[in-house]
Amino acid sequence: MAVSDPTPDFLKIKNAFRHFATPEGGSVRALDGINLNVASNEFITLLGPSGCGKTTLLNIIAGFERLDSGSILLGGSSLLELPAHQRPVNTVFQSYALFPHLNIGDNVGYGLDVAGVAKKERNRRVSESLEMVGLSGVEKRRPSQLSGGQQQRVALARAIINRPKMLLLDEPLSALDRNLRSKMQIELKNLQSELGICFLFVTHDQEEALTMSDRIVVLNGGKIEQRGTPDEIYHRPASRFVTEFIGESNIFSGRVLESTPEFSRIDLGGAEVICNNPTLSAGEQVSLLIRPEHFHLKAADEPSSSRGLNAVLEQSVFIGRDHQLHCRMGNGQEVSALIRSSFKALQAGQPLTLEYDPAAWHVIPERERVNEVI
Amino acid sequence: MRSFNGQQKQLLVLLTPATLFLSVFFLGPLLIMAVYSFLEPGLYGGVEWSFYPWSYGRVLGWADGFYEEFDIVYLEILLRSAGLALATVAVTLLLCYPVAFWISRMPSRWKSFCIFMIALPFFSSMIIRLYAWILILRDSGFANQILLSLGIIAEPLDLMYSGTAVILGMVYIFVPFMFLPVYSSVENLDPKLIKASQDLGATPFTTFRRVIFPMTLPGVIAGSILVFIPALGNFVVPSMLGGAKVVMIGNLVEQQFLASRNWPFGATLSMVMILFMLLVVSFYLLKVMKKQRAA
Repeated sequence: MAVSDPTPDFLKIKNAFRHFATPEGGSVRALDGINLNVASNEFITLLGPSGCGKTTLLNIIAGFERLDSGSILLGGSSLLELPAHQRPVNTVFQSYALFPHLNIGDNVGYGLDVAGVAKKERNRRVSESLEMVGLSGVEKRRPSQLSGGQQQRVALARAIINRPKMLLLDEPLSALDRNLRSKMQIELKNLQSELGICFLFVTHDQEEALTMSDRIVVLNGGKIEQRGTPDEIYHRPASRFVTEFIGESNIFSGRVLESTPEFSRIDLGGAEVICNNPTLSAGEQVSLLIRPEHFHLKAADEPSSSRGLNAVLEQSVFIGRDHQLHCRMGNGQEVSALIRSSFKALQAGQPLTLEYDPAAWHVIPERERVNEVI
Repeated sequence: MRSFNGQQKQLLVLLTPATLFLSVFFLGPLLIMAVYSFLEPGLYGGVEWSFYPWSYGRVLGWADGFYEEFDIVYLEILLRSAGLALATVAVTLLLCYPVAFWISRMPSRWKSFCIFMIALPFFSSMIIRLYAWILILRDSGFANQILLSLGIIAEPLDLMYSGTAVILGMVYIFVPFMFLPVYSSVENLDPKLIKASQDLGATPFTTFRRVIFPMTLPGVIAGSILVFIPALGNFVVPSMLGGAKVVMIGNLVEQQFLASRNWPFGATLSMVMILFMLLVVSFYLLKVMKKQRAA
């Protein structure tokens, strides 16, 4: 299939609102003013906890649910007026939704059969599609005779056979075991580049999102918390919610003591940290974040530096290549660090200095916490 | 003697009562009827113990008039009964399928309520319910009174004692037999499959034809058989709502035993009806299965 030049604003979602009535008589905002543009060749992931609105948005694009207000354009024309069966998008469902009464060939060929494609062309495209997902020669089998991973591939082959302009994937890997899941993540990414179409992937698994996506949109309570590349989302989370949702991190509240163009000094209440974040003003309240893997252990004989947190080791957990250290600082706050395992055993109760690079800190001004909905 | 393991013993204990009951009270009477159908009729009911194939000849065509005479009317009645039973199946299916769909999409407490409502008529006697239908359908009944007072008709319609009245009554009696199996198959249909079909470009009609109907076919087959068999042999509805005009095979059998006192001929008609039913049902099943395998 030919890969055409990408269009930057291929999918345009503008002011999308949708609320649901709860059985108790209340109302839940599933989409609360979503604005999003997606390029025609982008692997974009909607990431968020359950109930954040990600599946609702996917269902609305697929045509299974309506929008209260707002607009969705695909390739310049409105999608909302079209019934689901006329939309140029296809979906890979969470539980695959393969037709149990049809064999694999007829499942994959379903989209062509209902479109009335000639038998010869249809059979050719069915085997082509199955080949693309690495599952040739199973046309005569029944869905129940295949493993979960194979069913997943059939669902993919079935969804791409109509050559959609956009593929919607609703947590398609959640039922697979860990090894198969990582393998499928890479295959999905490859398939997307091969097809050159937009994949809109919905998941609550941050690791999955970080692995595959060109861009991640973090949703919470029907609102977009942050959009950006996996790198941006991980290293420069825009809000405390994103920080807590993506990866493990140490989050502190602090007050800015001094801020110069080069560095800032922040008081954590009994401890002080130096970080490279020059846009702060003295006296300001901030949230500080540092990932556990950004700490280093300082050897006892090295001279102490100001760029370290003093803490007492409470527990050390061996997790393979690394040790996870649970420590407590002098002011009672907990801090966790991920340290490369070594032969030197660490003892609980041992005082440690957790060294950091001032650039590793990420500072979020407290005023942005207003957005938080928890 | 071979010994049984634990699981087999359990199975033996659980299945013995049902097997005994069915052999004594189902297979036994059936065998008696099969034997009686080949015996000579007694003068005042009962049977004479001598081989007598002429009852079958009377229905199927080899009676020559010496003992009995062949009459095509019995086969005609059998076919007409089958036609009425088929019509009952068709109408109950058309009524139940959309309703089953509608109820299966309801919140669960409404579901239970609706299913209860559908089973509710079973709580009263069938005879009483059929009398109610007489009150509705007779010349001075509710149906005619309403139509007359609305000015839709000038003369009362002849609703009672017709094939239509019999079908109406039978549909009324047999709706739950169709509804429950159809409902359970519709309820088990994964709504995601309907979504998937739409997503792949199928119109609602195509989705119905290619996904919904094939997936719910087992329920439709079960319902059709559950309605067809008792409808074919039913004699209460035709005798109450059909009068003398609509004689069905069930009425004929009843008459042979109770009025004509020709037990062997009644037994013969029953055996012919049973064989006919077996033929129709197995033909239907074979055809459906073949179609399902081809799809």
